[in-house]
Amino acid sequence: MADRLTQLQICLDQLTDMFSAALNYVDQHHDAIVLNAEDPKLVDQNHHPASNAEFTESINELASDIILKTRQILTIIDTLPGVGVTKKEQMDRILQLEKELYDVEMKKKKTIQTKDDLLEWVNELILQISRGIAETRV
Amino acid sequence: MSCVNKIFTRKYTTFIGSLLSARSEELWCVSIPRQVVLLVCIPMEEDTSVISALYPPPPPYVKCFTDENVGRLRSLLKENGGDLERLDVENTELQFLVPPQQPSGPSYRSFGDIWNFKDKFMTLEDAGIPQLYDGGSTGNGAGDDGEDEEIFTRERIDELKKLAKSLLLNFLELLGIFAKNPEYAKEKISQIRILLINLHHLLNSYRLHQSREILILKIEEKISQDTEEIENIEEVCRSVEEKIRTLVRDRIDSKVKATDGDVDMDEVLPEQTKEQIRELEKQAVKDILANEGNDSH
Repeated sequence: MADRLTQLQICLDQLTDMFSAALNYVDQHHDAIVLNAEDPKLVDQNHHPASNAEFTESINELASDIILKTRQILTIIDTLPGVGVTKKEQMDRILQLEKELYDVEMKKKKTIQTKDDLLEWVNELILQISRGIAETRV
Repeated sequence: MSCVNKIFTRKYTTFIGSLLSARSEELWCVSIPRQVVLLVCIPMEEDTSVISALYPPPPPYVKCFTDENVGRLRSLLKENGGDLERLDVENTELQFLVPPQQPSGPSYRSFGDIWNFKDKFMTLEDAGIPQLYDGGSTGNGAGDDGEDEEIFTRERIDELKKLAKSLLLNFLELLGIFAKNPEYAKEKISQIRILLINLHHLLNSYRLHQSREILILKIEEKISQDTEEIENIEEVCRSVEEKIRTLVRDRIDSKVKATDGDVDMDEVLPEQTKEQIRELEKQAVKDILANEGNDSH
């Protein structure tokens, strides 16, 4: 999963796409209306506007999508990490953590060494025991 | 590629031919797709040369970078004391191995673009876009390496939110303008553009801050992971030791109980008990092996 900032940038791009998609939809699918009540309504063979209900429904969907996306953007903005922390504080923290990490790594190395020693000892023990078993069987 | 070209050209040449021969372009309400024109312009006979010319071949001096030459340059450098500029390699193969000097001036030209040597934070002002949010870069952009861009305060967050909301409002206004008088839409669109650029600029200026923040998180994660691993290893070691100790104790106990003295156990114990002890030992071996499996895991 991408970090917050990338998410935010993607969301912003999506929002822009949605704007354009909404405009495009209205442009492509709206029905013509008659300005003068007496005029006959001409039908364009190549244009198939959506039915009234369908059009309204789609428009509503597009609008609510845009609102949801905006809300998502606002939420992500709220959860951006490290607000109000200065660069110096961050660098100090990184240095401190670096030292801590080094210590932990050393400790880990030591523990693994202890474990290996124990393993060797146990191996020896097993050999001894199996030898003992073999001898008792004789 | 060439196959596609041919199909497209076959399909469109007649069409384009008739279009052009009509000589009344202003009457045509269809515009010729740009790709089609481009495709037709590619000469069909030279298929192979088109592909081989995609990237230029490597420069001829790459052949000078042999192991031998690199070694020679290295030994020359050692004699010289590491001074690249005073090496006497003029007019030999080695001259290509000495990196050229950096061009003078703040920028250089490559792939038809001008590049700066130094990465610089570009303020909105530099890009000629009005800055819509408060605070920050005005006045002290280049002087202190855009230091102020890297601090992310609560105000910045609020500005971000304001920009996001006004983006929505502007879109609404754009819709209204489209409905009433599309002539004026252009201005609104450019306003939305400026808003978006501002938003993205703010986000990009946050990037450095964010990457440091992520680094901190990653190190913390690694530390806790390591600590956990250490604890696991220690736990397993402890349990192995404990088990062995119990086994030894059991053995001694049973020995004491069975012999009630210093008689050798194997002679006194009934066959059944001996069998039990063997079972116990086998079990212990199994346990230890299993624990080792966990251990190395």
